[in-house]
Amino acid sequence: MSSADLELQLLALAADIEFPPAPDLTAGVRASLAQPRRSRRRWIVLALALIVVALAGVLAVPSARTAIERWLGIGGVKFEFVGALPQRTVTGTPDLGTTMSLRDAQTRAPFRIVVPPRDLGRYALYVHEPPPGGVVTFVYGGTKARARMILSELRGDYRPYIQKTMLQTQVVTETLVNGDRALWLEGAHSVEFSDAAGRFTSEPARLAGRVLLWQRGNVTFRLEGDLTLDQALKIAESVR
Amino acid sequence: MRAAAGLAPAAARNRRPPAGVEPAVVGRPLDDADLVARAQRGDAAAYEELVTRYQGIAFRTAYVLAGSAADAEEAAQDGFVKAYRALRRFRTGAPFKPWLLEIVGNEARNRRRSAGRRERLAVRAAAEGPSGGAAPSPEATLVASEQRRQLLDAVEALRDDDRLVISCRYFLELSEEETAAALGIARGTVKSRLSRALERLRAQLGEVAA
Repeated sequence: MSSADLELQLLALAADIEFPPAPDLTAGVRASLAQPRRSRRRWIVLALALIVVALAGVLAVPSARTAIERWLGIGGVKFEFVGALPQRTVTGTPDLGTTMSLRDAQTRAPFRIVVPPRDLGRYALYVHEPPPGGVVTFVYGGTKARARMILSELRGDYRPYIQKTMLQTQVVTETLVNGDRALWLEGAHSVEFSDAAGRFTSEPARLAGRVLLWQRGNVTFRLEGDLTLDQALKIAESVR
Repeated sequence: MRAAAGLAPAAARNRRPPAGVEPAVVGRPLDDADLVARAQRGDAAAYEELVTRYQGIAFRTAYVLAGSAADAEEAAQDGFVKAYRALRRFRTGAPFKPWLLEIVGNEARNRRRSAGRRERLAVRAAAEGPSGGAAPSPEATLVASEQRRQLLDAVEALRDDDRLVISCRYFLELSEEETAAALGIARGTVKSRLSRALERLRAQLGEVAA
């Protein structure tokens, strides 16, 4: 069967698929909007763009700017909010650096590498430099291109920031990992790393989906994968 | 209201309101941009019109992603609520549908069920033959129905990434931009993922036929 035939068959099939009847949501939406907003369980939804607008005046003050920029990031990661993500060629294979043994990686990293628990499965370890101090990455589930999950550790006490994350996402959710502040990002966003001179370089760059970021001591952790927030939190809490 | 659609064009042209009666304003329906602009100014009725317009596709998208009708309803409703509260951030001139589907997609993925607990898509029990032309024989209907079921089974058996991208593009008939938004991935990834998914589906169907 040719690709065109297959696509035609799929389109024809669409008409015969039986979805459950769509409920009328208008009354439910109206009722929800009539209620005052409540924070849900342990996390708070941050309407980041509104905050940015509200703080635009404050940002003109240098001392306040530093505090606010830090607040709008976590550890070694800075956030930048953009209307449209930069156009990038997505190769599907992130440049994670050089594969090496844990011992070699530990001799290079200026922080103590936290090794994830064994029940997460086999991993391949990569170290990428720049940024200064490097990014140590555990890759789970096959090759880099088809990785199931990626856990990166990087210096969280470096200023200016090591990593810049450009967001076009709707919401960033604040949560906790073992009591440490964490942020959950959803939707496409672009990631860049700074070089030794502190300049953000367009390479290596990639587009990411769902990411949990948290900070413990002087290390920033970044967990990326096809995970729900609950799954990501469970994994993050096991990395200690 | 589509009552006017049943009138012959001449009759529609000749309609006149009785003297002394203000004609009702029956213009073109407001487009999404108009409704969004009104909703941004606090017009709840305008937002309800957007909910009515997109609740079907929002629910079906959430259903494909979450794998449960109950979760899909909750995800779609929460998505509309969050979208309303985020309307001020909506970029003027941008299409509303992908923006909404990104929010609903996020909600649905957070409720995603494991493969074992996921409700499967089904082919209508009494799927009719192609419209137009002669009615197919009962045997032909049966064969066509079986082929459709096999194709859907093959899609359902694909790994999640493949199944979702095919479902969004073909079953929900979302554009590349809308698919990227619903799945929370880049547009370029939709293209490459879809191409690989079709390849794997074709291979799978080849194995079934062999």
